[in-house]
Amino acid sequence: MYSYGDLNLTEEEVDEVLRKAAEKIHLYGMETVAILTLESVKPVVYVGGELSRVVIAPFLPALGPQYDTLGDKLITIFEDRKNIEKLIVMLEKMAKGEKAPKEKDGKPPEKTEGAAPKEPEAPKGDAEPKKDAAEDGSKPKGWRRWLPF
Amino acid sequence: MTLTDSRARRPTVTDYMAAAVLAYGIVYFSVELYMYYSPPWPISYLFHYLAGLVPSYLVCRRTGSGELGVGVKSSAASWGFTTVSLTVFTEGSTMTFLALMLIMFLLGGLTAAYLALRRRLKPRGAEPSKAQDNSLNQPAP
Repeated sequence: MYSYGDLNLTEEEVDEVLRKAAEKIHLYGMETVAILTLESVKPVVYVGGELSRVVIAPFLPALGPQYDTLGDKLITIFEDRKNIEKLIVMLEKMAKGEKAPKEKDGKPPEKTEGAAPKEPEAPKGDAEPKKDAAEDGSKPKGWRRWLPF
Repeated sequence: MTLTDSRARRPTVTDYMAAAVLAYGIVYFSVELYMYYSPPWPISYLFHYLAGLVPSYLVCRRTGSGELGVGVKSSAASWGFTTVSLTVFTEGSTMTFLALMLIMFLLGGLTAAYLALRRRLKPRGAEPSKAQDNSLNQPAP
């Protein structure tokens, strides 16, 4: 149980937030960069959380009560190193394909759509290589789809 | 903190020292190269970058998690050993040179951590296997 002020968070709520964050990162294929970033900021997350309570949290009520609560919740969750480690473990499992993300919200990753009928593999033509790559399921995810290679 | 057996694996001090010796070897090679030839000076930055990259990557391959910390530690250890060795065995190492060498070592260490982490998460081939996890033929912990 996490408690800060009026906020009480159970382990299930914390895991749900971490899972959503991991799914979003997995959706964009940024696991490696995210893990490196999380590892680098892990020693100072508590300081960052306290700073955000001073700098960001006072402005959250202006956005609405739901954002105020959400902001407090996120700060409370992500200022704990244990939760950062949990998120890293989740991301590693997702990157290795050990743990499939849930499909209930957001777009499901392409791997989960494997049951859907796929188009037969057409011979690759020189005219539209990007379209062919998208059709045979090898379309790059996230920001990599804007790369020319 | 939930850690699996694989994630709990960490390199030893011997690994860090071996990496430091290898880094000094690369730097010493560049020093000797500049004694006998006169390659363009930016090449020395490349040598120092490689001196941070190669040993740190080899050390990072021996960890189960926390590649960033291992890479930075390995770079720092390599820089320390190289600094002491250069000070003892050669002359003319200025503070500016040593500071630039530290920056290049750290950049190499960061790159090595990224490469090792990417290799661990997405190994070459179809799917990760146990055999790829022990490619250095290390004894089981």
